[in-house]
Amino acid sequence: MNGFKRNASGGFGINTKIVTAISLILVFSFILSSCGTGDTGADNGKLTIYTSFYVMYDFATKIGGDKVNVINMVPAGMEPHDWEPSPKDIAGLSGADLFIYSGAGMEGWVDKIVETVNNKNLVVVETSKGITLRESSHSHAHEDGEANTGHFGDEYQYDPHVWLDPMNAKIQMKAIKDALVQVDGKNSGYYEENYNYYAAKLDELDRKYREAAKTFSRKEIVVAHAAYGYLCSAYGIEQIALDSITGGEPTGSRMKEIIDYIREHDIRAIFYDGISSSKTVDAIAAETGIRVAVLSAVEGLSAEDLKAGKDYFSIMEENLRALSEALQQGE
Amino acid sequence: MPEIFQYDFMINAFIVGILIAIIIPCIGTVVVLRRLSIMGDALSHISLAGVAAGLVFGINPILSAVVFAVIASLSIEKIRSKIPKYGEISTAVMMSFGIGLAAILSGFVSSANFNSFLFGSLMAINRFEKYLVICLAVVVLTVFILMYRALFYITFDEESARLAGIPVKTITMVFTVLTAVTISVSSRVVGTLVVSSMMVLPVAVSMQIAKSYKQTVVFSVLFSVFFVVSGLIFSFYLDLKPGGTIVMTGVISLVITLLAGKIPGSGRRKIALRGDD
Amino acid sequence: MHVLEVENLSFAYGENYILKDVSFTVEKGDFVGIIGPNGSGKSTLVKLMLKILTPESGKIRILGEDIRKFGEWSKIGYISQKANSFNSDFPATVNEIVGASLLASNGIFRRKPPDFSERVYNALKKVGMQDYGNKLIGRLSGGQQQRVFIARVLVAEPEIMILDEPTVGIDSKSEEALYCLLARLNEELGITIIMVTHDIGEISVHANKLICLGENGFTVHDTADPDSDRIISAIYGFSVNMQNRRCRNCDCMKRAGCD
Repeated sequence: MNGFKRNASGGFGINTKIVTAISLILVFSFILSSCGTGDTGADNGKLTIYTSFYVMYDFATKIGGDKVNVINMVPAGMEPHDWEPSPKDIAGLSGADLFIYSGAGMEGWVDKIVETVNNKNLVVVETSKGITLRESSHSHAHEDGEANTGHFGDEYQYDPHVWLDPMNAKIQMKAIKDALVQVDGKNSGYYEENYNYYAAKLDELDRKYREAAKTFSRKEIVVAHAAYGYLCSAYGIEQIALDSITGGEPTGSRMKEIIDYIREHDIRAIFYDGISSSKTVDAIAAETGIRVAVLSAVEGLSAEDLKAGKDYFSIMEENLRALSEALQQGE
Repeated sequence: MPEIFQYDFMINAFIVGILIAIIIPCIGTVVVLRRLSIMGDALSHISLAGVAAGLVFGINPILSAVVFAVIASLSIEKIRSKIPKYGEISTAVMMSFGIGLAAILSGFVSSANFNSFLFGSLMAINRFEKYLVICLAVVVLTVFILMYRALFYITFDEESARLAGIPVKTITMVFTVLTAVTISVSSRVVGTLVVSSMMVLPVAVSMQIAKSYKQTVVFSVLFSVFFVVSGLIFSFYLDLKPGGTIVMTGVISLVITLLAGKIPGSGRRKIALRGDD
Repeated sequence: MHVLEVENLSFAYGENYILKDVSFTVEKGDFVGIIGPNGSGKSTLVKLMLKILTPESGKIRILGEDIRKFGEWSKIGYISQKANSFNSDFPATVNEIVGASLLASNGIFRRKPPDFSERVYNALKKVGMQDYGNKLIGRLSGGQQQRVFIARVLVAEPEIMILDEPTVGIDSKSEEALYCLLARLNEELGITIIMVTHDIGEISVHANKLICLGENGFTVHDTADPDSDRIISAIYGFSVNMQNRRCRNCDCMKRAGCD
């Protein structure tokens, strides 16, 4: 029995035609899209590197220089924590030489991607390996003996923002350098040179921070999210986070705690990362009369920042200025 | 003065919360009695999609939420009047469209931002939002009071209302737009999830005890304000999220009144809130 | 002036002509019954009279004016079938419902007239529901609700009352009371009554004129006409026996049970 009915005049009805056409279009586009980008391979002699998010992108570009093609996965302006790779992203990895990510829970989707990607030659680099991780903590403004609760929920046991301590950044850069040397031995001299250059810059950055920290009259910063653990512990600062375990806004009583703390300890500024919504910190600032300042966790850069040529170093310098302004203020 | 009122952010939460608590049941009474509760949900979800679209394209999300909601509400109303049979199904389709679009767009937007529209942002009200809500409340209350009698007649018996010379089409359209604007603006402040509940819960509780239409409206408003105020107080002292606490206060109140109604001799009414007639 | 004039009225749903070339007149003070088998177009005729539908051809004049130009709709009171009219959970009191109608006829956006409560009360009194002002409409019996809807119409002081099968779903005692009420309004207030019903027997007691719609035509005749049985049977296609004839004197009404 013929599946298509003919109408009175012997032709197929319009409806059948349209349905068939749409189905064919859908099937074709599905096939085409899953073809993916194919293997670009080292088509212009450069290595193809996929990095998870901005900091890795920055480090990889610095170490790899003009011998690499770096593609960053989390788009500009998006928060890496919220991001999930699409099938297209995973397909792109199938033609890559290296995949560089930070680890320690920062990129929850990495395991999935590494399993599903079809690329036996892909070198996967977890740059935070070897770094002593801090447990995720939710610093309270007062001692209440609560157990430590995860910053990003129960999945995250450790604070993943390791790169905020320049010495950790050095370890991460080294991991990238080692991976590049492994994959592209003939250029190892070039990579070593780059690494040494940036390692020295990191040492310099670290020195600047230490110098500044000596002059801080206060040792506490109030922040929106507890992302700055490594930075703080490196330079003797304590972070008091507004944080909420489930994300979204803090409860009224948490707001009150922070406001009370700010008043009692004469805090002058409240920090947030500059990319997420500043509504909550604005409200607290309005109530207490303090400034809102940006302390970047260098997770992602907006498109304008990228165009303006900002990088890890320039942002860390900005952070230093912001910290100094808040903590150096005399009475 | 109790601790809770010593903080500006809580005072703002009360001001905004109470104003919204007053206007939403005014809209809600008519929506519920016209058996259009599903419309409230649909518009909440469309607002959410509008918010997501605004965040993605860099437009003020409240504005985009309002635009989406107004267009959606007018479309639903148009379909309802032209083809009444498809009224409810078109609303359901609109709701699914809203939720689907919101879900897709949310992939391009930071979840914290998005969540604040879902669950509300009562603890961080800024000046713009405060004044926006005050203006909204003034407009909604004025229009509602002006159209009170006409809305009553239309809701009770649309056909007779038309015969009685009431400009049914115009009033319905104005009310529809008002509903859309109220829902979308309120969503920013208390979150879409709370808005849907606040449209229906206070009316449901009110209908258990009200003995006239006027009482229904008045009690809805009173209960709604009660839910918000006690919800805020509980959330502050119990360290809970304000939006959810407000809704739970409403739910618990409804359960209590329903149970009280089961006591023989009290002669309370049950009500059907959704579509089936 | 005829209160209502219908001339060569035709209406079709799609290809189906449900009313073809219907003509009749109604005079002031008439009590008209519109009867006919199911599907004969009775409700359609009512909707045409209320301008809810537009005819294919023909003319309608209300109170001397072409219906298309007619604007004083508050003079026309309409009572639909109880069954489809409203949601019985609706929390409105009798006063609110009748009051809304008064406000609408006065101009819904105008100030309340100073004698507002009085007029509402009087309208309710005319239907015997003056003690039920604060009761919720949903708590009343079908017959009581119908009386409230009549009061709602009365408060606007109409000249014509059009009722579409008002006795559906109402017990027979209330039905009797309803007919008596209508007869009284017709007699004492001179309101012209046009009523669609499927109950031939009852209506012929009270109506002075019957319009009978059927598949093969329609008839208009006086209920005092001795030939009524035959005429109506012809329309219905089966034998019909009318119980009583309409009389316009008090005795007759007393006999029928109205006081």
